[in-house]
Amino acid sequence: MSTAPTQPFTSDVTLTVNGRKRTLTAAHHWTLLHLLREALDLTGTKSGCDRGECGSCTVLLDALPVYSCQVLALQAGGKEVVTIEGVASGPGLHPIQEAFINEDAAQCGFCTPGFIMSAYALLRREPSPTEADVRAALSGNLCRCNAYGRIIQGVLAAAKAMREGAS
Amino acid sequence: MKEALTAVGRSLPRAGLAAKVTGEARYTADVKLPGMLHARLLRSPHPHAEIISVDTAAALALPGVHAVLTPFDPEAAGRLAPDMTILSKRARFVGDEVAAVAADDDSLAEHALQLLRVQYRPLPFETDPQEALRPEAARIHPGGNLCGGAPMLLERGSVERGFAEADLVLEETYKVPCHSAAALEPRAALARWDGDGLTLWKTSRGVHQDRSTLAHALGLPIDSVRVVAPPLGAGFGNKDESRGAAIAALLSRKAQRPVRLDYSRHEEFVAGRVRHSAVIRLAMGVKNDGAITAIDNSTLMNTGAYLASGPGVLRRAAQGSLYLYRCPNVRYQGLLVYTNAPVAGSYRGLGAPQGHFALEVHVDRVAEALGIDPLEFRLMNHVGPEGQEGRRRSPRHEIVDTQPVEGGIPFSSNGLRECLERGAEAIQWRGRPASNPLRPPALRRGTGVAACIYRGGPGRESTARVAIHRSGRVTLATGVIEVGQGAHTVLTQMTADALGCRYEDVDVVSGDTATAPEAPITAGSTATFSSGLATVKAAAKLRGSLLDVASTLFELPRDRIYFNRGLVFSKDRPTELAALSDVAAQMPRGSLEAEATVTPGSPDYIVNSFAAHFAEVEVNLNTGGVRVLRYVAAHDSGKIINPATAVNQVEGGVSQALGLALTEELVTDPGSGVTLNGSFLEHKSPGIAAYPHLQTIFVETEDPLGPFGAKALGEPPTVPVAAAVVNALYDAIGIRFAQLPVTPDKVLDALAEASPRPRRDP
Amino acid sequence: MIPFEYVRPDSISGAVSLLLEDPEGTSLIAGGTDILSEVKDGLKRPRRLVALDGLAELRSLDVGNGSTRLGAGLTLAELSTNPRLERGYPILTQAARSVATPQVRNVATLGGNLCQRPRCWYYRDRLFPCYKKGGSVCYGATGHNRYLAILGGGPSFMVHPSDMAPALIAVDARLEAFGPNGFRTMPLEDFFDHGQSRPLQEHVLGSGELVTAIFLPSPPPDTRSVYLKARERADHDFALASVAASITLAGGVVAKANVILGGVAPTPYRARLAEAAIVGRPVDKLDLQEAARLAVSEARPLEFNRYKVSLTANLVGQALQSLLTQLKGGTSHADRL
Repeated sequence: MSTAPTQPFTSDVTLTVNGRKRTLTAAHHWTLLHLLREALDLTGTKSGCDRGECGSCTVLLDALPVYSCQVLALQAGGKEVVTIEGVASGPGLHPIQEAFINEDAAQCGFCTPGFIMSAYALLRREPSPTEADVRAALSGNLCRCNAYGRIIQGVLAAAKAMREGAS
Repeated sequence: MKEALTAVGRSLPRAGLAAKVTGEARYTADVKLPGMLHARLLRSPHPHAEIISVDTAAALALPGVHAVLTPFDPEAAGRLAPDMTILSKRARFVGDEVAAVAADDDSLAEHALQLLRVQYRPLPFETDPQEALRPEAARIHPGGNLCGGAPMLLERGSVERGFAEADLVLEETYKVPCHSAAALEPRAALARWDGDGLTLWKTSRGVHQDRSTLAHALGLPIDSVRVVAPPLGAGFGNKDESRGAAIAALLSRKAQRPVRLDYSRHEEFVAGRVRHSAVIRLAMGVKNDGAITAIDNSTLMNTGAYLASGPGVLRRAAQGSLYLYRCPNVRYQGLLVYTNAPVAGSYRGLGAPQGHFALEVHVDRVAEALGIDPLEFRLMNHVGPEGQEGRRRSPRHEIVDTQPVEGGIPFSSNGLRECLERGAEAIQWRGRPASNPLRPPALRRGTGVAACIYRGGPGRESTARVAIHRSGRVTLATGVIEVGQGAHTVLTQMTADALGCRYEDVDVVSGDTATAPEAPITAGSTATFSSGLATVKAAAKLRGSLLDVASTLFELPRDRIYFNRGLVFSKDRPTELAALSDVAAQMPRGSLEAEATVTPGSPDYIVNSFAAHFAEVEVNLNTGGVRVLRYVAAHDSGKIINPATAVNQVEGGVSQALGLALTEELVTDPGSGVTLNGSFLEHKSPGIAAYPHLQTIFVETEDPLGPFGAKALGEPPTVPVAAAVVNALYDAIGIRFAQLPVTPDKVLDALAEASPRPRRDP
Repeated sequence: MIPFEYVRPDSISGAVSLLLEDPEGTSLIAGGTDILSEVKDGLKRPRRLVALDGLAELRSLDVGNGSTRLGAGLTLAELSTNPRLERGYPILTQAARSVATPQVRNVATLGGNLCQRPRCWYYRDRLFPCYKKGGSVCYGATGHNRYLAILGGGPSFMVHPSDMAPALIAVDARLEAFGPNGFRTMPLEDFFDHGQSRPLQEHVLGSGELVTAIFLPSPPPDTRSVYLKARERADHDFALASVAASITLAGGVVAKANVILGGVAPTPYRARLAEAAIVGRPVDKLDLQEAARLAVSEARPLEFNRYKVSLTANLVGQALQSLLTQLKGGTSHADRL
């Protein structure tokens, strides 16, 4: 066992967050979650376990949903990150966010950003998901209020709204 | 008022959700202050030990470390509860708080913890409650390991007489493990001092209770403590304790900087609050015709290292046995025991899921022995609107607050029979196949039923304040915390209809002792009932004052005017006179306000909620895996204020309790006292994949005492679940499980012992 | 998390040099899903993490005629969604899809999956100086051992957690490693070792060596394979037991069989007796029950894991039945667990 250095190693890292290029000085041991929440104050991404077991920290990394608590900030260098704050394109809500409100797809709301990110990734890839697709895509997100039934309805309703909006 | 409802009874959108779907809502761990430090806790590696010394020099020498708190700091001796100080020189479980550090960042604080040199003197320890009752067992608190020094005894009639009258007596022991509520948001607290004044942001289920606990522990006048509760990432009964907040406050005072303490997920599991594990011995006497003559329940519960809410939980564990079935002779003996294990506290349903698991599985066993269908047996015996037979013993003028023991007091409303009937119809109980016809030979299906009674509703005194401002906006100030269950949504709906304004016009002020009125903690399913009553009363009072203003304004008698949907009407004209905001604009002062305090409940009635649940399960004989295919939950929670959020509440409660039935258990190693599986991966809470097809039925008895006829709903959905599933398993494979959770190992072990017989096969 | 230095070499040779500089204090990081948990939980305290995720050499997927090469840096998501891989080796797709969650599969790599550390509760808690952390005791042997080994246990009774490993062994995969002495390959089966010499790892790689690729031979005609995994929770769970099985027929006779068990032994476990019971037999004269029984006939369960014996036998029987159904041209629902 070694003792930790008093001054942690740091490096500059450049990444795109919600469409905006950012260059920051990051400690090597920072997770992407830490960078987002602490350095950029994007606190919509939640920390529920810090071990990649609950999904509340889910963000998109180069379009794929990942647990930001289990990715080092430096590993995200050069990549594109989308967080819950970057889901809506304008000042309004994204159809998934609207559907989560209309279908009451939440209770305490702590897991909600993570679920929306997983749903967002799914609907970009598959505009017409089945219920089984939704369950599979959200299987890495835990909701301790167990609002799963409403969440499934919310994602299916969002998919429908997005298809209708697109046509 | 009834015909004018425009908010109550409608599925209006959940309050505060818009800020949660965008990530804007700031929970406690999202709150930051300039100069804020991060705290970490050193936890005991020993299940039981005396702390001889803590050497803090090396930690304090680390640049960026600003404060260390140990049990040797005099202020750490402040008392949070009769058996708990802020820090203690005695560690009572693996994970007990020993010391704390505040540093510039989290990783420095973690490093500093490793530099603390603690000298422990390990002591003998107990992890098993039965063992902890031996006379020679290690003493965990000065008063001994049996909490209160004696069993809790609740009795009606004479069970000895009841057993003597019985044709058949069946006895069995049931076991419910400890498991964790594991709300997704970890506990957090942020402390800031301004001179002698302390502000604490914390994960809270009751800012007023937290304030008085913290002021007392810190030796501060109550007025110099302000507690603020940001949105809560769920509580499920947890987060009613203040140790972390007190530690953050003391670190902050030492460091002269704001300090935030965030629990890790592992700390949540080990040092949060778990459900009391229970060993329940149940004996039931019946006549051949199915009448129940005696119920005798002995319950042993493990409260872990500290008492927390143990006595209340122990009492709730009795409810089903005492009251769900008509029976003149009942006895409940409850033992609550200290051990060197994680602290048990309040978790959704308190003791009721444990008690009902034993009772409702046992009832199936008895029914089978008598050759009576489980549903018919329940229909024959369940308690009716008149309550239990017998004479009331408690004083006639006293409010029936807790679940009574004696008979002679009727329910304010009781829709249990309809829950059983309508649930049975929905799952097609009476038309279900008599055998087990299944395609793949390794699969078996079965259906089970279980019922419950739950004393939610009336709580302690509750206050609400409703005000209307010149703009026409209405504010409801309530002490009830929105823990995610939708309390603010239903209170807003009640305000709108009791006042006559629109749902959208109401803002809720809550979660801050500086602005919100006193309310009991958000617990025991009391929010809708108790705070609802206070809210309705305050809103009605305000309506009266506004009617005066309107009466002057429109030169109409007061009783010819009414408000609805934010509009002012004359009873003599079909169209509205004005908007309510027009009246508000004419108010003599900037705003009009009304406050009401209620003591909920009644001396004449018991207010209880009821439910009947039906589960259809499939068992895989190859793997021991159990899937819940279909589930029907029929509830009498009185009038449903918001059907959408209520359905969500029921579905969520059922799915959450399926964890208790099938997958979850927090395991403490008897050899070392270490809790082994404190992670989401290993404490296997239900995910979305196994979420069953779930149907909710509301039997809307309009309760005469509840606000708009409503009763409690928060906890009952978790209460009958384990029994319904276990009864369905018996139907499927003929094995009666007496221990939860029913994991594949238990199924396979049981199958190996008794070769499976499809129970209803010819 | 305790600070460390993160270094990104630009080649596998660079990675090897970095490993050799400070073998004790250096750990590799690819997807990071396992190593970061170990660091956060205080099980490992590396001075330096050497990143493999930028290395193109580890990222190729070549489906060729004679054999297929899978770079060790491919993610499990890439493996589970590759249509050509799914056509050639459906068992690998099944195994990859059964791992953890979508978010994990998007970063976790093939190489990382093969090198992951035990999930045993005693190993994962820093309070226990267990055998797999360099101590002398396996706490699971006498402690809470419901999830631990029924086969091949001792001195450690851990079970190997990988889903990919049994599936790959069942299709005769070879592993390629690169180190100070260049490349070497070996049957994947020989890669796993929980031998006494190096308790801190579950494989045979030496100092400075890393996994670079997996080679898959083309399956002979009339070969079918299947991966079955039993778990307690439908999503995000490791196997209580898993079976990877493949059968090759020649002229109505079982010419070759691989029956590899996961989650029941410290390494992926070849059920030799079960294989022997079916190889050389006509396909319509197979006694699957007997083969299933033989698969676990050497099991020595601990106090709380006796159920795994019947569970594993049942899975073997179900897997073999599924293969026979497939070989007869039918569809099978055996993967429904």
